[in-house]
Amino acid sequence: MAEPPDVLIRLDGVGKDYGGGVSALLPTSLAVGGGEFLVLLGPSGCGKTTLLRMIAGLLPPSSGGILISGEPLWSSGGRCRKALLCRLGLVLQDANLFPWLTAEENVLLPLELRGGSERGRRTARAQAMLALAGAGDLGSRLPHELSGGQRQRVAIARALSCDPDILLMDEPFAALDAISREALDLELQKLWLETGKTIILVTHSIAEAAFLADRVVLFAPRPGRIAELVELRFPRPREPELMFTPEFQQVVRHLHERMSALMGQA
Amino acid sequence: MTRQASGRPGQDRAWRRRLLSPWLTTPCLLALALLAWNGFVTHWRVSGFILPAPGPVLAEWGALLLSPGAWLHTGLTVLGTLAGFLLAAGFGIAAGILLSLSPTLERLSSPFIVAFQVFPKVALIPLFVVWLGFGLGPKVLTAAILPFYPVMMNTLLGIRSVPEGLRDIMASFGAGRLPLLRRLELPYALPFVFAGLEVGIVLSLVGTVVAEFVSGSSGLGYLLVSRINSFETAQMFAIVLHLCLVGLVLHGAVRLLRRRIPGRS
Repeated sequence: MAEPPDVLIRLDGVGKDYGGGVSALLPTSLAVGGGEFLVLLGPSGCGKTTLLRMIAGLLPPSSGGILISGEPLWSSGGRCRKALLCRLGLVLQDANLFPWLTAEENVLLPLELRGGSERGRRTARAQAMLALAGAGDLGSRLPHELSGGQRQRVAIARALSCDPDILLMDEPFAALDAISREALDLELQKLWLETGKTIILVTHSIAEAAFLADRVVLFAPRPGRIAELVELRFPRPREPELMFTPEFQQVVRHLHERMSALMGQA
Repeated sequence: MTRQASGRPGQDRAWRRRLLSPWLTTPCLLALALLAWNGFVTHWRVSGFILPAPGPVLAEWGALLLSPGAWLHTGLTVLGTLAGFLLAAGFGIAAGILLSLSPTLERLSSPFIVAFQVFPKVALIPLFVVWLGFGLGPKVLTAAILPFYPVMMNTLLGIRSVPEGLRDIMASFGAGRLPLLRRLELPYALPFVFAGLEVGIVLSLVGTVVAEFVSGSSGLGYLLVSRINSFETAQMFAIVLHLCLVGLVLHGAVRLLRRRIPGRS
């Protein structure tokens, strides 16, 4: 498959090895284009979360390198270049909001830690991000007063607060009920279309992957590795009706068959 | 009709809850205990030197509450307790943070910490008297040493309990060590720290009173020993009741502070 025209993130033989024989992720190379919506799909234990954590600067790779706009994220000593972290926003499966801070204070936190702008501008920025994530009226609530879906909206607003150009999401909606999940998938697509961010999203839901992705990276387990890249050319914005079309069903069936085969091997 | 039928069980439960509220049950049970105590003493004709009846004890406590001298002793005991408690809180929280920063330090120091904790620290009071004389010094030191361990361990436990996900989020902001401590670890550990402080304030009072037994020429502990030495058992009991009151007030003050921690469900 051809390389995307403007490469934003380049994985150059990135691998992770915890010792003990089996690699969490075999050396992997992949180029992610600017503004691309990339979905990492696979069964558990296939290294997709490991890869995301390495791109997020949380886990040093055992081999290879990660380049963001040509700059290496990891120095040779296994230290993460903090200057590049401000280009990354992270959303995890659990919202991980700070329980003693209101939604707005949670979104303000990364802005305060990075400093720079003055207080009024930061507050305005936090409120704008909450509104963008569909949580504009929840700013004064504490996390325990919010539903699971609302908490994830606040987490997305927080990840966007420092205006990163890359959004990394590790099964962000996996813990939500089916209805909330579908709503948030749709809103995520809208947010992506409006902002032009590059999104790398990890999921184990085939339908979610096929609905959201420009490209699906299918992973195989034990050892973790890329099994296949699938490009999806459904027009945007994609509507929920897309999921009932034969073309979509065909993609889902293909991914399903591949995933079952990979599980069987392992 | 139907409304009554459906209303009744709920009303019964509400009534029972109101009847069993501690504001009602505690005085009743207390009165019952006093009656039993009185009955026991009169029926078996127990000597007032061994166990005085509740009447004289309460009378002595009343006299104590009206005596300026007793309040001076109370003030000195509270002063020793609070000074020791503040020292223990400061050093305990600092030590907990220090241990959380370095697992190596924790491993190296843990045998000594355990030894220090299992050893009855009040055995050191005579030594403190030799070092610091008969004034406030030995009291404050004892009141500081007893609660040190629970405050330190609770701080450490609180920082250790920070979920990995929250640490990941802080790391993704590129937060350094000091912001990590100030914005995540300490706020997260605060309820744990306060649980330690609640235990700690009571231990501080214990430390002060025991130090007064040994060293004192002042304070409620000294007063208690001097009463028992002159066979004023009822007065001694009154001081025990008074100490109970002091303990309740100090503990209540720490609990009140704890309630003011924001944002916890």
